[in-house]
Amino acid sequence: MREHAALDRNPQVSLEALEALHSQLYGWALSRCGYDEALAEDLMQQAYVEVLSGRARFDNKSTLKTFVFGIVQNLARSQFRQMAVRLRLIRIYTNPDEQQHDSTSEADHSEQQLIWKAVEALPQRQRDITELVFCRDLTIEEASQIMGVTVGTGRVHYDRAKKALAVALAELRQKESKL
Amino acid sequence: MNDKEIQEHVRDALGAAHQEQAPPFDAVWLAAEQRHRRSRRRYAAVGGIAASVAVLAVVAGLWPSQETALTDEYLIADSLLNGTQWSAPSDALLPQHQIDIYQDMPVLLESTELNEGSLL
Repeated sequence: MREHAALDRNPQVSLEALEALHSQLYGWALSRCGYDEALAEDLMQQAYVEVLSGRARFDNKSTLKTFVFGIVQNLARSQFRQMAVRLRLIRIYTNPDEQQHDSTSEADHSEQQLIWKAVEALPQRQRDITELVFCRDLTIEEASQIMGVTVGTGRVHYDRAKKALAVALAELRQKESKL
Repeated sequence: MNDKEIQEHVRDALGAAHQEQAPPFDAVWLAAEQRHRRSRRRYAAVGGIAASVAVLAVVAGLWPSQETALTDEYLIADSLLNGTQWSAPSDALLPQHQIDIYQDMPVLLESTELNEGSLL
């Protein structure tokens, strides 16, 4: 039975609300850590410690989802980014075949993989806002808040990302129709 | 292609590219609580050690006290007074025993004897 009491140092946050967001938050944490599961779990724990300790205090100025996504984003930015890059580099250098396979077997990729490759090819902020709006069901305003940019800047990133993806998808369809 | 279509494609692509199987919430939360407790204990231990070191330093007399500071100031002033002397360049003109100058007062005026009620 889940306890219903709010957290001591974050009285506006309840465990049920956090649990409801857990899966989506994990997805976001994974994305912040280069899809390394161990790092993502560590990041989630650290985010929950921030909430538990009251170092990050929720004051209802935004939605709880924006708040916790923001914590993960900030932690990842400060602690995990370098680690994730290092891990990615280690993986590349310790297993070069994998990379070779990725680059040489593009013809075998499914449409979805190609679309995701197009997403990954976007500049970081465009990619972030695409993921937050398209995959994590946030508004552009909320996504901008999490990314720490103004709504105007967020809209510009969103618009550019959408156009780039539309072009990529159109090219993909053209290739399919030729085949 | 509209936003909805792009969104569906991207969402499907993410799902296909990466499995997002979140670990159970309870396990992650429990680990976070333990981490939080460990962190608090560590801070408390560090604070306790710092306080103990301060108390020991006071007890052992290593801590600089007000008294020591005053003594230091006195010693500095004292050594300055004892070790400082000044002499004017004209001191060389003075006789060796300066006090002798004033020992024998020269007679500046000697009155003459009275002669029929008036001075000679």
